[in-house]
Amino acid sequence: MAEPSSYSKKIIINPVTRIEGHASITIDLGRDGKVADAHFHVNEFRGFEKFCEGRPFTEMPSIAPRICGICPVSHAVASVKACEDIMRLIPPPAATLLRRVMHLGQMVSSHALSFFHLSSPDFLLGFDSDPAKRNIIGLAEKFPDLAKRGIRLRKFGRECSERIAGKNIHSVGITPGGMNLGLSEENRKALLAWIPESIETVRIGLDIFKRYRQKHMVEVDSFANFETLYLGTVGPQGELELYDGKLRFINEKGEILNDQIDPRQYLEFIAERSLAFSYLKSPYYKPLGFPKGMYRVGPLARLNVASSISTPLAQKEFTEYRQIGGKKPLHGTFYYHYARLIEALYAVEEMKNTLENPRVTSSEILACAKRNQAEGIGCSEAPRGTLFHHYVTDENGILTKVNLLIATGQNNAGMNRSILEVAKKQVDGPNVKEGALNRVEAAIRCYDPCLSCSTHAIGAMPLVIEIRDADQRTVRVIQRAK
Amino acid sequence: MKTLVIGYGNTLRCDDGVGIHVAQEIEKEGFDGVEVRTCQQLHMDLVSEFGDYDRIILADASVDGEEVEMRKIRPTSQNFMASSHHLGPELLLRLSEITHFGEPELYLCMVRGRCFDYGDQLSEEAKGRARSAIGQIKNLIAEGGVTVDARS
Repeated sequence: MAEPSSYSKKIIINPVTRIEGHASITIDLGRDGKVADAHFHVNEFRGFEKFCEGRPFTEMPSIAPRICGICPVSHAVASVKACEDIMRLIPPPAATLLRRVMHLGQMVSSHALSFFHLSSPDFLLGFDSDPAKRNIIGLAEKFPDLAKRGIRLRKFGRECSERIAGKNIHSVGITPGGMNLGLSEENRKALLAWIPESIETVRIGLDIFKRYRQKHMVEVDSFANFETLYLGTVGPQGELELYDGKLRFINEKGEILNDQIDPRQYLEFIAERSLAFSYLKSPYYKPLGFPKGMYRVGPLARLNVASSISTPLAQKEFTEYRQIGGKKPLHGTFYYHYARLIEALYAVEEMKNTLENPRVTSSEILACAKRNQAEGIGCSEAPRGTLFHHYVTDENGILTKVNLLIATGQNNAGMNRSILEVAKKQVDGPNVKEGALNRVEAAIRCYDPCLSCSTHAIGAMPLVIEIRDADQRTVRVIQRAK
Repeated sequence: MKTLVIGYGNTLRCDDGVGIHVAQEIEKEGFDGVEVRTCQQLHMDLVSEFGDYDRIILADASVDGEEVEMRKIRPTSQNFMASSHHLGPELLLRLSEITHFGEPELYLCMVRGRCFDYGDQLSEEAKGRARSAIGQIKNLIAEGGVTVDARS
């Protein structure tokens, strides 16, 4: 047996910074010192699916948003939809409009956080800049107006929930059958007043991305660029639809595999696989099996599966976006940022449309029903991808089974592949520069993963990079201060 | 002097909710020129409102230190923690300062708790310390020229 060479190493990045959750990355080096494999480990465990069993299903829209402080509205929406499926109930139109406003607001808030606060330091300060300054404070010191805009854009998104449901997080406004609270004329006008500034801010973000791409075309295009399938929800004409769409799967060539699939059928198309190195499960497209059925969700996936966007400014950006890949989907992981900003633009425009609908201030917002069937499935697009809530109840409406299929979980295989792709380019032996490791982290950051959601997490955020040698010995650990 | 009192913590972890309790008690007093807010954690959105107030008083629970401790916060970006879920008071003030949202006087009132287990009730110790904290906050408000209600 050959002796391990001096280059056989394992790199650990711990904690991975500027993400929503606590995780680590392991990079395995072969005996030649080259990257042999890489894994993204999620160390958190929460167990929501299990401890919700035994609760009345009607409590789920109050419990489920506690999974996450970033996307509570998506969880509330998916949850009430599952409850309304059990009740065989359709909420009043005004209630749907209010939910849409909150849902769009959350999309704006989450995307603003991801781009302006978590990822912009890489764009504007540089991947190789001082890591002590490569954060929101460093960004704000150098670009105060941009940081201010980012904070205000996020505030606008959160204010949507506050003005409708009284709280910007974990509100109880969304309830099975509709809404507990309505929108006053004063609050409608206050939200509309935010629209011009918000559109301008998102367009500044788009300009930042485009200028970065122009300057770093090769890196952007080749960054974790690999072919996968994609899943997203679309409207009847194939347009981007975040609140109430049907499922569309496409393959790596952009060909539609399945279209207009009722989310209630998700188990026919999606299966889950557990991985030994992570609490995060790895769902896959069932007809192709694992790993061939690896698919991605979230902004990049949604723009790859959509045929159009229904609002003018976002459609214009979408046309430009689609020209990059020609007729094929964009596979480069860095384009998640671009797609995220186009979605944010759509969300602000669509919010204006929704708020201008006269029905939005109607007081007819709640319908009632009891349990009419045992099982219910609800789906909506969360900022990070397609979200499913699936409940099974007994004859008393007590939950006997809960399955939560979360966006970040669905991107698990994609994230693992992304760090492998980037590590292969950036890491050559154990003495790797910090900037290179930041690029490995950035591959994860593209997905804006929410580990609190996907593991259903206790504890604080950050991530670790670990380098292991060919004999699985840890030879370097990179862990930033928490 | 326009004042904002922000109480934060987790009311489902017993004494961790003492900051929220303190803020709610201040709200009941109904001081002119004093607004009250409660939240689970300090987050960066709050800085967008810093310019609206001359003084902001934060009320939070602590696990050690003095029973009740009131201190003025100085802005700093030292010991930066990269969490989008929570920013410390010093960092919030620094962020507000450099983004030109505003530079209010910022105070932190820490109330030491005893029990941080699951539950929505304060311990007797925390209740007593909360009364002391409320008194200190009221004195601070009074120093700012706001009339302290005689009910107190």
